[in-house]
Amino acid sequence: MTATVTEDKVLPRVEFDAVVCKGCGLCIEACPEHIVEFAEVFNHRGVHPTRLMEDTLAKCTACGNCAVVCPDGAVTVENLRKHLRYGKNRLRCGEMHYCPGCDEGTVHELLAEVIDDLGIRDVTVGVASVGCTVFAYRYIDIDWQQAAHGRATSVAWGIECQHPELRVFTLQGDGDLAGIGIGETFHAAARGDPTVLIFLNNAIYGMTGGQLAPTTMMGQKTATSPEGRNREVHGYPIVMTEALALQQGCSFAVRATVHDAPAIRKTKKYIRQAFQNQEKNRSLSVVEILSSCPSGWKLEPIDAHRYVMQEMLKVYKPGVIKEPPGGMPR
Amino acid sequence: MSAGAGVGVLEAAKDVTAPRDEGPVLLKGCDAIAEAAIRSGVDAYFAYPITPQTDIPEYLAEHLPPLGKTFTQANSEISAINMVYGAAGAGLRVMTSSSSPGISLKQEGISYIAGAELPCVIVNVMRGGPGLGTVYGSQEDYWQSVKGGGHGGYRMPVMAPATVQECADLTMLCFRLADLYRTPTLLCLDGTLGQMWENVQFKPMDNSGLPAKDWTTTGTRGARKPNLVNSIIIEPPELEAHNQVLHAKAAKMEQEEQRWESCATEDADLVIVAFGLTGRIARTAVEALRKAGRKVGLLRPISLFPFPTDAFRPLVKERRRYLVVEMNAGQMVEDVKRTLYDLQCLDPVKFYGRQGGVIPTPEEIADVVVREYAQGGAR
Repeated sequence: MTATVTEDKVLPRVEFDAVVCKGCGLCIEACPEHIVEFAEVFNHRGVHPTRLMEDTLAKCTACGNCAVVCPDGAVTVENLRKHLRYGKNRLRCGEMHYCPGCDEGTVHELLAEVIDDLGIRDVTVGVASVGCTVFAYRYIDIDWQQAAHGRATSVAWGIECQHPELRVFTLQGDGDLAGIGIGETFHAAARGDPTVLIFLNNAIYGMTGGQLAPTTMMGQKTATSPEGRNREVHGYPIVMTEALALQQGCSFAVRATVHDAPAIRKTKKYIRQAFQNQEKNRSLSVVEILSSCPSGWKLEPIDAHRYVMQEMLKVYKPGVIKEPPGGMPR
Repeated sequence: MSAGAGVGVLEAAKDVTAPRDEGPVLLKGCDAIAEAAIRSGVDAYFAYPITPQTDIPEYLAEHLPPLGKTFTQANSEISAINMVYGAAGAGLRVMTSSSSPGISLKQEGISYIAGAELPCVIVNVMRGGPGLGTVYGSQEDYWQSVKGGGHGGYRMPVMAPATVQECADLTMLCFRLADLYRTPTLLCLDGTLGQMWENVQFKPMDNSGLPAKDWTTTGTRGARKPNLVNSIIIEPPELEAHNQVLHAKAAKMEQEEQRWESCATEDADLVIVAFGLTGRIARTAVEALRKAGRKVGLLRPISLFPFPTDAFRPLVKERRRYLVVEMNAGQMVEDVKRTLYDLQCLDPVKFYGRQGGVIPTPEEIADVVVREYAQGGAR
């Protein structure tokens, strides 16, 4: 569904891909002008895709928020006056298996953008883990390895140990990184591997249907903590990134969120800094991203983002936890 | 910990395959394996300490870093085998080693490596089990070695040396087979052999005819489409097709990679079948029995997978008896019986073994053979 470019040349170009759209509605929430809506028709997925309201293009400020928050790259906004484009990066490929409104798609987009911006596509190798990111290799057009559950950082070290010219990153969920793979994760930090570790913390086991994770918060209900996490039965959540930051071999540690467009833009900056730090410092960089899991949390995507803001941020404080020696990469 | 920027894998491999010194050297089994790995051009080695294989990481910790190669003591055997996965996927010649309980920990990773078709060498310096068992040498991992070990029904070449010389030669062979078939390979020896000192004459590494590694994840460098190292294939028909490729490779190994040593089997009316250290001990027993006029021979499988079925073909033309001797409760027996059955041979197969790290003596084995004769078992 393409909004027509009118005779007025400064109007933005806005495109909502009704086929790709999973109907999460995050773009509706993100639009400051309130000119995005669900279409009445269903698409082939059986959801109402979003679209620009009729005759509202003139109201669009081309801020790009709708495109930035879309996890599936279904929205493209072009600010023709400033020659800015918001939407799916050219390194993105494949149709994502993630649930509607899942933040992991957004993180894929940020990774693709950073790799593209830094011009490191040809020397970058991604390590997909086990969990919802198991098929991460389908979505960014670079070399990938798919690792066993929890072992992504060990696989990453294997890749980079004789290839210092490679830019290796892992994409891991909380179960993978803080549960089954906590030993591997800590020792990557202790060794000071030059890996960029992208840690998606949604406080739940998403792929297996929403069970208690190492980072599940006190009181949080999951399939295996139906009355909410409590100390007697489940113990306490693990605060991972601060603990990794304590290790000498971890040079950069930060916690971010992707619950709205400004947060996403900030997170992209952190990911870029991690890759820049990797080049300059060659010691572990950790970017924890608090991510929503609408399916696992049994919340609408927009409510899931509110949950990140209102609940997760109380437990997991955002911001830079450890700066590399000599300050943040520029 | 890593080579200088821009050092290519092949370029670096040339340096280490250059002769280090000529002539035989006195080495223990574990050190011979480590030295053979260096001479094979190993780029990276990852392991975790466990008795009785720890001489291998100690040797490589000393000798690999000066060559610009990677030595990493991992936080666990699990971590080490996954470093192997990553490094093999990045095109490196790579090895790990452990002893029985540590090999158990590696099994998941070996399965992934088999699924992703990654070449690597795994060394198991076997000790007695199950569980923590003992640190003394044993052959109780035969089943684990040749019947999979990890999940998913994969096969891989398994080589069993009986001398320190074979420790060196078979390590190099394992590296070659790994690259030739894009497969994990297992060198499987008794802990005792790992500690035995003997003269070794190192041979040059044979890299001839190995396929190009065009599937590695070393960055596209603007020259090719992205590569993927992966063992997840969700769609059943696609996984079935992939598994058929894996098993076709295993079938080819069964055709082309059988290795064994035969000793005085031609006229033997009793053939001892024993591998590794036990095969070596049985050889001494055979020599003594021959001197005593008994027509006893030895068949020593060197490749445990593929099992040397071809070695039995000439034997089954005559009626004989078979005595399998192992340092376990009789694990290889089933492969001997299967092989004879496939050759439509119904000759009797007996077993004698010691367990828990107890090493049978040549006299003990000879006594068993003599008892067989006394019972009229052998002509």
